[in-house]
Amino acid sequence: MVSPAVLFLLFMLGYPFVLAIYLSLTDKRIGADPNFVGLNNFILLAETPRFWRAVQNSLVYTGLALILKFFGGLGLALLLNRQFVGQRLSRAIFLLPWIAPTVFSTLAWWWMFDPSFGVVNVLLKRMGIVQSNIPFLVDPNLAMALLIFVNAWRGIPFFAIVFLAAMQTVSQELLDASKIDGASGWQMLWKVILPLIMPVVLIVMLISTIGTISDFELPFLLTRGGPADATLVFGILTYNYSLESGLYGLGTSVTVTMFPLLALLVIWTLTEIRRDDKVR
Amino acid sequence: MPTEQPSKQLNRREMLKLSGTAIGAAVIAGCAPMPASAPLPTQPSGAQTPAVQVPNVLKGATINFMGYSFFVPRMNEILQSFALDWATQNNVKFNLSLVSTTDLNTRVATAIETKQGPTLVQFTQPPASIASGLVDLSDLAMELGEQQEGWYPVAPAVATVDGKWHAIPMGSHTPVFAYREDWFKEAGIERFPDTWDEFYEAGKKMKAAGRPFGFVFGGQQTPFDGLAHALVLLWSFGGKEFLPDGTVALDSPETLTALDFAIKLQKDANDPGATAYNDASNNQGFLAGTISATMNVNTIYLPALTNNPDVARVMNHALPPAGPAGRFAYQGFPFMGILNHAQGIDREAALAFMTDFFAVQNYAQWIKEGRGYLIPLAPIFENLPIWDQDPKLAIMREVGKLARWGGYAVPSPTKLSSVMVGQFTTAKLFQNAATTGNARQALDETLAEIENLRKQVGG
Repeated sequence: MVSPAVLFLLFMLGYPFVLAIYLSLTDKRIGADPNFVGLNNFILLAETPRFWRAVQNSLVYTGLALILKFFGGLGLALLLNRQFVGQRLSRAIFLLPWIAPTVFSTLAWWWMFDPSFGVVNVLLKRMGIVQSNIPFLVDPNLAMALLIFVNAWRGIPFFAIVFLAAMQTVSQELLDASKIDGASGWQMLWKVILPLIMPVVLIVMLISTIGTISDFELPFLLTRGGPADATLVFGILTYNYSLESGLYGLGTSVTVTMFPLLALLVIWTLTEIRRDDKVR
Repeated sequence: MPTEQPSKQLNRREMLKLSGTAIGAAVIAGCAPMPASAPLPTQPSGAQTPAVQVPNVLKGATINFMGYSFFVPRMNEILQSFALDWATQNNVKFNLSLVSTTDLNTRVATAIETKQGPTLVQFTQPPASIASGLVDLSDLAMELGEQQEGWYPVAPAVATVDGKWHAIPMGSHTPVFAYREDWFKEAGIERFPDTWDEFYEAGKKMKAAGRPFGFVFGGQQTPFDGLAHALVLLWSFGGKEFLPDGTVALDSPETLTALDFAIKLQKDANDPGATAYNDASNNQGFLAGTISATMNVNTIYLPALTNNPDVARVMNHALPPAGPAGRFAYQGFPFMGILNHAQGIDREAALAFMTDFFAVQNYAQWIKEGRGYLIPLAPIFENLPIWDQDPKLAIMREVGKLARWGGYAVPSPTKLSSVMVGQFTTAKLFQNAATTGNARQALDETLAEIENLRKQVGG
């Protein structure tokens, strides 16, 4: 029974991974045979300001989006964990941003925040809140902020539903006992609920980190890395090099640079989960 | 002539002769409706071809065509109609797929690398960057040259790599300024600015009146418009991407002057959103009345004639202003080429299709529908009834004479210049400068990026 699983993993994960490592060590270009160039692509990247901008942007994008998703997801899960009329319908509605196709929802955001014709600016001006258009996708900081916001908007429902599922496994007796001991709601959350659902939290954070740091779809649709590379992230830089310029070797090396960081993160997360299990 | 032959026995040159011999004389004068009367290799009684029984050598072949949708719907209609008629008459299966311009080059690259999917493609990047994936079309280019009184020098310059034609240019997109003549006059500006200094002063006035310019400082979001605006500015201030020997020449006082101009233009005269435009934004902005001038091919005016006649009536076109180094225009090219993985009869079919599509009469019928959207690259088309139908479009003939291609100082696109066009490097340079307000920093970062690309591709 092990053999098919191993074969599946080797084929579906191992082959692309090894191929990526191999391509990153070559000068592979469209339609041409690859030549081994050692670490040359990585040296070139290290000498390129755009690469470091992509590193910085990716970390900021991932870090801030993750924080927003964690707190947003936790808050939403706590709300949905209460008994109220229309609870089931609310849960379904809150999932919509996560269910909606990224292309559809991101283009809608882009349309709303278009700096010249976006409906947000039109509304703000009509309501007299601003006199001139807010440069949402023009100002580098606002463009990044919007990108993070849209990522969080999409991700919060996923966090919330997973947190909610985990919260519902927390024993009611335990919560009642802590209440009898005089714990406030805040204390119950931080001292009881969160520690108990921590393995789930860590897994969700890990999955989200991997998904966000290698995100391509959302930045591509919303900003394409602009303006002035302000939202250039790993995925966009890889696309620039690999598919817009035909430099597959260089493009692949961008993705490979993510690997050590993600590997460390995975190791740390799994270690924490194991330690948590042992403590229990 | 036998009615049935193995495909090998009818080579491309013979096919060219079959389809092309009678074309020349009948070319321009009539321009009869194209799809129905297209001279085809197997057309038994075409309007211009002799009524000979042509062997049905392409039967069973498949052409997977991938292109982008031209902004002039009539051109798409004619191309599609021609393709389907041609396929029917030649017993060829023709799969047509149109994708967005921003995705096209990426998809072509993927097809080349995977050797799957489309076999006949349009693309907009210089063939030098993907030459290894393209079939040599030199014979076809020579034949077409004979039919159409030669090519303008730009055609072989952009379509050949090491002397071989790897694609046939479908014409050139060469933008002019579209501007609101009525608003300019209201602001006391009687004619479109002739120099960039005048342009800036006019822009300040227009912006103060709530009608800013829409000078596109765009990168990936607006590949064509961004490059067109950036390069016209760069060149007319004396900057160049390259020296004739291929050395990168962007690091110059002239480039910095052009970038400084871009920064002040963005600040004082331009729509603040112009650094985040996509390819449609300046069209929409102009038609919606939020900007008073922008550069484009005729794709603002033509839709306006139908949908916004009030705007069409009060707008006009003008050549780009002149700078210290002169007046320039930018030209980008859609190319058509055959991918290497098309083999045997499929390759023959693709070649036969191109032969017929670019045959002068057929091509003329197609190109004239664009009314300057694409400028033909051969002298025989100069007398086509394109230019004089509408005085507001007559300028399209003039702007072609000012036009240069990206990295034009090198005699023919190099791998580096091609990759720079493909990456919109110069467009992003101007976008960065206009966004950050720091010309030197934007230039330094761009130079580092170019050096990186140079190390990868050579040049």
